[in-house]
Amino acid sequence: MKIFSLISRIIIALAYIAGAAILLMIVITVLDVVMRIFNTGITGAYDLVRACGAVAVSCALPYLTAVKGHIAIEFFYHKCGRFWRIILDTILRLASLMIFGVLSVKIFQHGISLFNSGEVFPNLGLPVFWIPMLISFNCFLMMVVFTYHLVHPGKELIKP
Amino acid sequence: MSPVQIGIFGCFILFALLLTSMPVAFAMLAAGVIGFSMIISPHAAFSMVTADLFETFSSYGLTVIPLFVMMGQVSFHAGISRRLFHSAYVWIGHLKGGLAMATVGACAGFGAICGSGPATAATMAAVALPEMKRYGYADSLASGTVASGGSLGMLIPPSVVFIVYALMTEQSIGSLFLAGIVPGIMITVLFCINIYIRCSKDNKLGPAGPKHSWKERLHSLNGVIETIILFLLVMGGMFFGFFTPIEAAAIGAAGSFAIAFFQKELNMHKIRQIILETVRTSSMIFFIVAGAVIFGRFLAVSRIPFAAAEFFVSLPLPGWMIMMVIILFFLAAGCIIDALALILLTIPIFYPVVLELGFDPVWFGVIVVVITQMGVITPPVGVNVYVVSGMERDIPLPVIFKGAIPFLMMLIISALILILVPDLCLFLPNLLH
Repeated sequence: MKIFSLISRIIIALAYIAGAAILLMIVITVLDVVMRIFNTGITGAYDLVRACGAVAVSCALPYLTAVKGHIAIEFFYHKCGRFWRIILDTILRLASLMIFGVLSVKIFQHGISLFNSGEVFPNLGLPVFWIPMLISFNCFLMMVVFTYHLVHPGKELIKP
Repeated sequence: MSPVQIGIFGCFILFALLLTSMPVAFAMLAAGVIGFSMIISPHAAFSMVTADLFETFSSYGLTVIPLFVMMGQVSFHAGISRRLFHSAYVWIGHLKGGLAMATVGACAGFGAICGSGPATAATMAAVALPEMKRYGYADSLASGTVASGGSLGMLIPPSVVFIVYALMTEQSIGSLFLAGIVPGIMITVLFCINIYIRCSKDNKLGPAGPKHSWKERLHSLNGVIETIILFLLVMGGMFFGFFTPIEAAAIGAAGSFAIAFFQKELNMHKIRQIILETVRTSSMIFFIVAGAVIFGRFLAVSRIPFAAAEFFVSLPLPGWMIMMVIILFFLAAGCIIDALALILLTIPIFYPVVLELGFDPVWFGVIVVVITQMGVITPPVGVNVYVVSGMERDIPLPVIFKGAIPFLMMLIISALILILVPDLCLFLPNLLH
């Protein structure tokens, strides 16, 4: 299906953005340490690293879900027959859709409340409302991945 | 229902969800929300979840995880393991079981720059198994050595499991890293002694390889120097207070990139793999931590950890006996639950008990890691055994599990030594203070 192909491209692009955020964290932190030798430093390095961390983790979540990379205890699951595995899988996907549907809405609302209150990172003055909104968007993408896994049992949206 | 009863009910919900193979992070999140809603209110539960997810994802302290994971991934793809193994091989490969001992040494060395057990097992399986097969080593010894040696990455710093334990219990990451060094070296030595004795008794198990000249041996040290420099830079910087753990992780990651660049080991394909594997592992850990934070909030309002601590302390048993029960629990649970997930699930309950009984939290962290280390080579969920099996499909799974048994015995002996002599763990962290 074309829509899932498009979604998987978006998810991979987000994973690379997450990787770029981690690389940026390395650059900022190393530069900050080096500049400290000369009694200076990067203003707001702490906030920048926090922001990069949030981007890295939230943008990686859909990829993690698409490659079925979450840790689960599958010992008892593998003892079940095919029929029960499909039943369990279906229930789990539906439950996950519900959990992340609610989370997506609630975290977005949290972002709006942060926007309205004008909350910013303490050192840099950078607004923080976009972080919950980014998490919310990625929770929504996770829902799309769960839907794919629901209609294609046993398949990953993206091959790891 | 009283909060404690709801707490016990919430633990049952969590257990039931885990049995259905629901991802650990989702199960903790769901059980935490349900329990918190029952004790406080659904509105408060959702407010708590949104705030905690935001706080966890944008936590400065947790950024140490992706940085160390990236350091390990770059080292993994930069051929460092291959050079470590080659160096150990030319030094001790001529002894009986020498290749297996070289594998253990290389695993310990690679564990010093890569915090993941399965990653260490995977990389050494690719490097060491073909060599051991070429020299006629028994499949059980070769595969068991790689699977067990890989577990050293969990204990020798920088270890992801230590980082997560430190963040959960608000202990110093530097102290835990230092506490893992002596036990890591001790287990490495015990593994090597075990291999040597077994191969000396049975010539077919691990025949001696060719002897190398001193010139070759000295030349091979080039492949070790980079690892030593990187390890000393990261650990030395933290130990002497030049860097925080996050800065040390960033410098370690940058250093591993520099090594890979100078060795001309990086290409676009490898960089892509490094990025995708780093973000996958990091987000997986972050999400479990977020789930554990949410479940921990529920446990806190249910007062279960405090009730458990009071219950254990009131038992008419000596503290060491209660500690043995906790350790046996970790041993049994470690066989079916991933080490990281197990620690995140149980630490909120057991940690107050350990403190109440007067045990050192850093020592307990090391013990828990050594015990859960056993879980990665024991059936039914021995992650490292599955990793080796996936890399070397010719060797049946039961042969690898059988090959890991002697190493499991060494881990049990190590755990007993560490329980009897806690100073082996605490000596270096005490120097830090």
